[in-house]
Amino acid sequence: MKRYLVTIFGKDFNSMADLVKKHKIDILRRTVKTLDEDGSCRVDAIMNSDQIQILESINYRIEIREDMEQTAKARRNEIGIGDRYKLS
Amino acid sequence: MPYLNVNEVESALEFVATSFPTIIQRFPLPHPTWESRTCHAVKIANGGGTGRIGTYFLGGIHAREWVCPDSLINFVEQLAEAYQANTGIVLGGKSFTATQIQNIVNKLDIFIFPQANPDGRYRSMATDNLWRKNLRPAPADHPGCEGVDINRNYDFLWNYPVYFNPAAPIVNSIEPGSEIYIGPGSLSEPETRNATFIIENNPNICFFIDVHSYSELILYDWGDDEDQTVDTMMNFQNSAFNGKRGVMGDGVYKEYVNAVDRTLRANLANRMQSAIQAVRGRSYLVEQSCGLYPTAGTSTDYALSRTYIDPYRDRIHAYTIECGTTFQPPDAERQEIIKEVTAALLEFCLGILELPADIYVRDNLQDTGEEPLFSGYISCSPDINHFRQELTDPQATLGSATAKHQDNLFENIEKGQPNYIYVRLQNRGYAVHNAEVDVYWSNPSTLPAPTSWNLIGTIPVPAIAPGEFKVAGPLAWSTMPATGHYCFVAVLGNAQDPKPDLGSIHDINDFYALIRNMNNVTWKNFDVEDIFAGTMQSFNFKIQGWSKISYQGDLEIDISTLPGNAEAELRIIKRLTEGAAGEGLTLKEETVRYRRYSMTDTKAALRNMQLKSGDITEATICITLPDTVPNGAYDFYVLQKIGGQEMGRVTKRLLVGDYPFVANRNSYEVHKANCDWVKKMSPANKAAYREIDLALKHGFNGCRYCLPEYDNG
Repeated sequence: MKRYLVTIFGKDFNSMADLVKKHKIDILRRTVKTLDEDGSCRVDAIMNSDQIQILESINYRIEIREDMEQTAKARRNEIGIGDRYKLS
Repeated sequence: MPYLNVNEVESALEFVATSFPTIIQRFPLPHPTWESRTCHAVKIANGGGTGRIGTYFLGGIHAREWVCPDSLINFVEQLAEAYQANTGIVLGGKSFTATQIQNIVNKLDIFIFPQANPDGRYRSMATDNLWRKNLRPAPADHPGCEGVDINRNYDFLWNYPVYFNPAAPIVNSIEPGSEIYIGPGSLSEPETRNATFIIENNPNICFFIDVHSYSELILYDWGDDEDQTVDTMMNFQNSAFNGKRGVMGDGVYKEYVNAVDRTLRANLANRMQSAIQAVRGRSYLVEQSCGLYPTAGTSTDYALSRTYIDPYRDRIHAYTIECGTTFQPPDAERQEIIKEVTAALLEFCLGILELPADIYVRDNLQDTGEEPLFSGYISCSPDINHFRQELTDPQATLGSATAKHQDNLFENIEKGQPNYIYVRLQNRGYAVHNAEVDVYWSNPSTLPAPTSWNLIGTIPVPAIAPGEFKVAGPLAWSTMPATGHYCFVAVLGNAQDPKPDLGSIHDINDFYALIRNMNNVTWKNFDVEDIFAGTMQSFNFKIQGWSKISYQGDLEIDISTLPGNAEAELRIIKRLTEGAAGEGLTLKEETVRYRRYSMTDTKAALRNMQLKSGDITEATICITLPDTVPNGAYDFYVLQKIGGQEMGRVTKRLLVGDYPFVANRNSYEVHKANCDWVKKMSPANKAAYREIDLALKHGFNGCRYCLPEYDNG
């Protein structure tokens, strides 16, 4: 199933904590931030479509940032071939 | 330039080691990965020897974070090339001079392990770019669930369900299928053990950075909970807090961190932040590692915790850099991130070189110089050492690895001759510096206020390197009032860390802060007494008040380490017992001035003694050991508390043994231990001697039967 790099927006810290405790989301823990004085937060995560749908249904807002499959294809063209240190 | 593939990272290390053999050593890590790869790391250094600070940069732990190994390879290559060519390095808007580059390589040992998870990186680059873990085979009961998160596998609160609050949003998992699976055991993974191998085998490593992506962050201190600098008992080793960690803002638990060290770490982090920003303007955030989501089993917490696990291990200041804004940036962005990381690491090295010395003397064997004193007792310094003869090679005798862990390297002071005093010092800082040590004596007291100190002299101490254990002295002392036991105080300082102003010690609180919060003041109120089983020994000490202040204090006596049927008595001035509450004491005798108590418990106390201003009174403890006590060392102590806090103690170690000479305190004769007259001697009169010369010097005359050559009639 396709996976996406997303940003998840939740209403407060508890909603961010639930991502880990209840929903077992692969969050990128360092990216968590409090957005505004109202306490709403965001954090980046790697999710598939099903996970996105589930979170949206319980009032999280999800922004898709990257299609990781497309990123993978693009980056694989940027990996060295062979061994450049042994060519010289 | 494309990303380095797995083979290229290893080849790069081989290449630099071959190209720069005088400054780069490549070495293998001992544990092959699950796919049988052997990893290598390098050490960059020009020169060697003691006193060099080590720093360790780790990368590639998480497979999908492609830019990290590339950054570390770039760091190695640029540093080595610039060093050899004697040039500087320019990274966007950030420059380093040739002199700075030379200093970094000439003065530091830099360990770089760029690709700690080659199996994972291979998979990530080949088939699954989001792969994070290593490639531990799936357990039989969890097919398809390969891999362990290496950065949850370290030995720091690894078994997190025991240690953390169940409500904590900890980013660890015991499920093999999880991206954050902690593994079947602490340090179960070869990759983790390779990473720790470098720390364990290079005790001079005092700095550590684990390079990850992403988020543009520089993180330090603990990842398991919020930091606090007040309560030393609230720490990861204290099982009283099991089940309570990891919930931010609940006030129930916060991880102890030393305030001075924290400031040092923050300053270095800020330097890295500035260097990164200078490259192309990116603002990395500096903050504590924990954030909302705590963790356990991470590399940085492991490194930071080592000195608390092993007090003889120098502390490691540990950081995580989270570079960039995505896992696998396109090439142009990758190049910029590489510059940023390289700039951060170079600036970090320069910051280390500018850190000061921190020279200290230990309060006890567990003391690491941390302020305030983290563990163990005050007044038991193992580092004031006095002998009746000058040592031929004091550094060899007192400064060896074995001697460092001994607290009994001294002889009782002898009146009428020079006695030679040595002080052992250490440098827990990061620069070579000198010191000057003032040595004082006072009578044994549970509260030797500075007004009772008498200056013996000053020992100048030339350069002490970081990590060095240096023996200073001797200071010759001939003017002691009597043979016997003395309290010694050492006060040291230098231009960077001056001696405390003793004139600023006005009250008990000042005194407490002096002795507990400053690592350049120590005192030794600890004596060793040779004693026979079945004999009685009396020990005199002072109970002391404070000039111009009266206060209430407690006296506590602990003989719990003595054999169970040892007897102890306390003789104390009657005035101090009036109004005081006794615990574990039974009154045996009373005169006009004194009371004598027997101890009915191994721990006894007099609570709320009323001490007058300037009070100095003498008390005596008499210990009688039974005949049957085995040879060995037995410690007991008397301590004084004010407001529930220990102000000081007198510690005695009784060495029960079979000594060659026995002196009779009543007849003033000395005998060989097997002399028939010894059997007739009252236990209360026996004194043990290892050397006949000392007994003679103390005025004993040789027995006409067993020591006729020493009989003067």
